[in-house]
Amino acid sequence: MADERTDQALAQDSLAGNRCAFEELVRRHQDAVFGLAASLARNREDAEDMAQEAFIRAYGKLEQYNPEYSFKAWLLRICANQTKNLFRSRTRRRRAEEGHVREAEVRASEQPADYGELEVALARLPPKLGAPLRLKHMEGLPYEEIAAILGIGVSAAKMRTLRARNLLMEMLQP
Amino acid sequence: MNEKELVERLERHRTLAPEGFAQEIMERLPAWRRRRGLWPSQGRWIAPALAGAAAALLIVFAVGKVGRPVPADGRVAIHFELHAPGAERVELLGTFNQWRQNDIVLSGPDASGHWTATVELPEGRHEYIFLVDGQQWMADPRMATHRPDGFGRVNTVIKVYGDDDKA
Repeated sequence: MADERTDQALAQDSLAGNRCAFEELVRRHQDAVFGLAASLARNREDAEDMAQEAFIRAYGKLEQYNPEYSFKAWLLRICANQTKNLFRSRTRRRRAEEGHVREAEVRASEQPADYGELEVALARLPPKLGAPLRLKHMEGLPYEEIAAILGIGVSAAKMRTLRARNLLMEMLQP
Repeated sequence: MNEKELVERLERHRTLAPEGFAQEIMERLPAWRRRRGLWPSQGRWIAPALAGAAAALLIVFAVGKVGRPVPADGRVAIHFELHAPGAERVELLGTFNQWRQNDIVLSGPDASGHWTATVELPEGRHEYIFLVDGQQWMADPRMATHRPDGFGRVNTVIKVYGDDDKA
């Protein structure tokens, strides 16, 4: 049976030492956090590390979480910040070499037939376009929250999402 | 594919975390987070209580005086104050009460329009904000250190030490 507690209630329970509550938060948001890390890191191994690290950091900073706000947005912001920190010191060349999420690694068999095609196209988007696109259309966040998560202006978030959509449409043309 | 079709497809799409992802995280989590109440469960209060009592005794004997009351559990009484003469209700929310509303309500206003509350806080760094009439968020104008929370509000930062009020 699905756990019907809110994220805020689970965060409170986690603060009180309930690890199962935190595990439920991880399960709820693992795809969103991993997806954002994948769009920023552009390498599956790094993305996995960064997404895991985001959850571990969030666990250590739970006292700082303000339950008036979305837990998911808070988590995504932690993920974006540390992913930026990691890659600030790396070269663009290495990112290009590492390429994209390999289709074979995607659990495509559980997904619709066109899942892999879109996943590969998403992975080919430049990080600064892919991240806002994911947050807008896959996570359903408003542009104000996207801007706060990624540390950019609201107009930049809108513009990058638009450019990402245009680029994706080009990539997905038959 | 047109834009509408793309957006619909994106809204249905998830990039899935790898198998076993949540389990790996749970295995990597530090074991140090414990119940945060004043009375930790399962007898864990004994060591902290003894350490706290010993620390308090050391402070008394080393300094030779007892300044502001510092309870044995390391908490320090901090006075919060906000000038809001027109307000009907002022609340204090912070890391120390998990940002809960309806938890710490300030008394006031006094004749000069000040609202006040005294709260015992553990030593360390805290962030807080005032909520006026359930609508207006206000950083503490008396304090110097503030930090944007990234969502449009500005929190006040204090560091609480056993022998100083605020820093």
